[in-house]
Amino acid sequence: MAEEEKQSVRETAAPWEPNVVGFLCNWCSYAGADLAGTSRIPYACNVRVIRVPCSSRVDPLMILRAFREGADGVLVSGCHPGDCHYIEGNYYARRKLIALKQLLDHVGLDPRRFRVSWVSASEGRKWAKVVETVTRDLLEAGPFHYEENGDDQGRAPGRG
Amino acid sequence: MAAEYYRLSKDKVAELFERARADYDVVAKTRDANGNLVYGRPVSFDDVAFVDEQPPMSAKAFALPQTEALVRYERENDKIRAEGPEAPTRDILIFGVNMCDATAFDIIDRVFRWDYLDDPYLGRRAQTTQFALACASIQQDCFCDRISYDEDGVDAVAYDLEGSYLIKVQTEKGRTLVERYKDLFATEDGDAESSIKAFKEKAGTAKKEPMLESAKPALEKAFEHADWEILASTCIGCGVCTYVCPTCHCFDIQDEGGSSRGRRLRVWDHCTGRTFTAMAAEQPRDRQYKRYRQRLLHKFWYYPERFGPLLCTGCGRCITHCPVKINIRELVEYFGGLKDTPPGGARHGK
Amino acid sequence: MATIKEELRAAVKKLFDEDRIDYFVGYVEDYGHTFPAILAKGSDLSRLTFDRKSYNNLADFLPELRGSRVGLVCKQCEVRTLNVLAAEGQIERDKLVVVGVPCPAMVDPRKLPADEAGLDDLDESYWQEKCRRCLERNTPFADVFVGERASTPTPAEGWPLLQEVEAMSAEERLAWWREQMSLCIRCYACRLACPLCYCHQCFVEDNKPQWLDKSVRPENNLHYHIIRAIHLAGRCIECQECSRVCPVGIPVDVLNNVLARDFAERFGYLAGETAEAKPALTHYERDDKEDFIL
Ligand code: SF4
Ligand code: SF4
Ligand code: SF4
Ligand code: SF4
Repeated sequence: MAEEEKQSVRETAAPWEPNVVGFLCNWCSYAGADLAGTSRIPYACNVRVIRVPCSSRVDPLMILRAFREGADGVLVSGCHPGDCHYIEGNYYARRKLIALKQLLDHVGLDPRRFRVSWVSASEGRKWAKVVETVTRDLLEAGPFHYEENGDDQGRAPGRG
Repeated sequence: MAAEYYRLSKDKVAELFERARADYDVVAKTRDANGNLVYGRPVSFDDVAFVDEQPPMSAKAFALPQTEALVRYERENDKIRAEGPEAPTRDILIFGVNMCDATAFDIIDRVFRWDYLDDPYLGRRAQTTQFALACASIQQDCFCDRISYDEDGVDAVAYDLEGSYLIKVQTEKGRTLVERYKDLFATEDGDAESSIKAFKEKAGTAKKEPMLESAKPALEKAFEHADWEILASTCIGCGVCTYVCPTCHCFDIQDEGGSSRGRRLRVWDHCTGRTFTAMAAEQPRDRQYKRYRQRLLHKFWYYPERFGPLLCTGCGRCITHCPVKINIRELVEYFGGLKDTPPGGARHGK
Repeated sequence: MATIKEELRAAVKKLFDEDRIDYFVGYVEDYGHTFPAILAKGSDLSRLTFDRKSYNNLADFLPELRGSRVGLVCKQCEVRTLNVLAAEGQIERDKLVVVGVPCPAMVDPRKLPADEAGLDDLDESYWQEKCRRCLERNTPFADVFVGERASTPTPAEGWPLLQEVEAMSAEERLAWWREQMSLCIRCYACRLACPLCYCHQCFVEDNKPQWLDKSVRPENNLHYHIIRAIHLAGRCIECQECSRVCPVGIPVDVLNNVLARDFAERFGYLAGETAEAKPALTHYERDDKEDFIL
């Protein structure tokens, strides 16, 4: 086993562990993640996987809702362009995700918090690497709070 | 209590403001990040905006915040901890509040202490003192001159009589304010009420006939008027009018959170929206013009029917900030029989 | 020479007289404001106007009048809107009578002078941002055209406010938007004044599942705005109504411009330029460019 694979970020036993929500398409990325498991590739276990039929099923609403529910990062993963089980789903997904990416970057959200990857059913190793990268980046970025003072009462300045 | 009158010289205002900050959480008109007027907490006296113009958002949020946690709960093992609504830690002084905002509190109070005593609201009200500054000139959309409501219930009002302010104190809270900084106020010997009357004549805020109260009998017969549909169908149902209104007070109750931690919230809601009361069944008013009509008639018919005054102080915000400039005063006059021509000239055509 | 107001009133009278329309949607002047009105036969047409305060995007009223024959004043903003609505199958063109106008450019409501006498002479520095970017001042597909054709100045490049925000660092932008979001009262006027937010049920109104919490706080407000911008990606025609109607003065359109600009550069797509182009998100190219996917 290659040296880098044994060195999972998990083993560094960080005092805080990032919560990552992963939306994985059923046909490629989910199978890829499965392969990583059956091949016993060690990698960080921070991604909570939600299986979806296709990456184009992922509505930006779900991504934002995941943040609202406490995710520190969100990962969307699907088939490589050209390999979609539904032929063109991920092409549509790509445009949608480009748009979301533009907006999140614009409003100053840390780019490390929203990631997209193409992982095929045979890419168990790539999946493990993607998760390692995402987790390592989030360990650096720290927990996600949009509001400076956390749980407020929705009191906007000057509104009592 | 009977009204009392004082004088406050202009060069004492800054001192009053600074000293009051030791005893109160002082709120005043100031500018936000975009340079727009808000009732906020000025960093220093220099940040206080002394203008007649009203901030888009009225001062009602200090008694009825847009989002308010009525209960917060948290579960640890088998124990559930619940905390009631949070009261402000300090008394609030709204310094230089517009009269149309100040009088609104007294109007909403009647609803919140009517059959059920709404403790969070009434608690905040008891902690709030209004120190109003009467407008020196009436603005384009304002119509407080057409509504009988006057200084009723306002703790203290300042009239800018060029050299100094004439202060009219009407409540115990207002008296406490003056008592606390007694050395800054002089007693007023002249005929204060005539000075106030002259001030209002000059400002254009003195009452003018016909008062809008007189529209009620005709409004009661105008529910089915054929022109509602065409005149109110440009309403887009945004509810800006209700959110900026100092007297609109509808709210919704929402639960947020889960089984281990969460909050029960009161959040503003509005009758002009298509999801109003949708949680119970559905919005009973199926067309937008009916929703707009509800807002108008609640203010000029249903509320006065039960409580007396109009549910409107004539601030004109709902005209200024309405995206389609629907004019509530014009519509009350038209449907209330005070005027023959419909605003904008639209008629139903059937 | 008849003024545009007189020509407009005469044209609308004719449309009613010839029974070509059931309703006319235009601007009227009354109580010191210019605002939209829906007029039926027998209405007083003498208040009809078209001036530099004719802000509203009148296409916003079309869903309310679906099924009727409608006459509509169309400046460039409405023209682009109608193109998008047509591409999305939302309008029956044969039931619309488009009244074309030469647009004099709208004056930014925040810059309106107290004395409006000189309104017609105000130069570019007073205009709404969109008017400096206007592609064509005269309605291209008018059934009836009133007034004298105007010349169109060369459209300005770029969106000044967007550029200002983009010049900030990521941290500054985060703080700036957080500040803006803390001002939002979620009245949704920006959505309701938008002629392209015509959904019968918006995601903010869903309660099973409830996508968006009702509590008004910066994070929830941001979620609303991001999703709305996504829903308008490749559809927003930059009429700036969302920003104009915001009671607390948030420049909402900056978010939409982020995508308008990006889609123009990335996909060569401009919403509402023609009625034929496929909406950007219902279409793709195999080689769409991106540089962030792992
Ligand atoms: S009257 Fe105006 S502000 Fe009120 S809901 Fe209708 S459009 Fe919005
Ligand atoms: S109804 Fe309009 S004018 Fe009356 S108090 Fe409310 S916002 Fe002001
Ligand atoms: S109009 Fe302004 S305050 Fe209302 S929801 Fe939109 S951004 Fe928020
Ligand atoms: S924000 Fe989205 S769901 Fe809501 S009205 Fe606009 S397009 Fe429809």
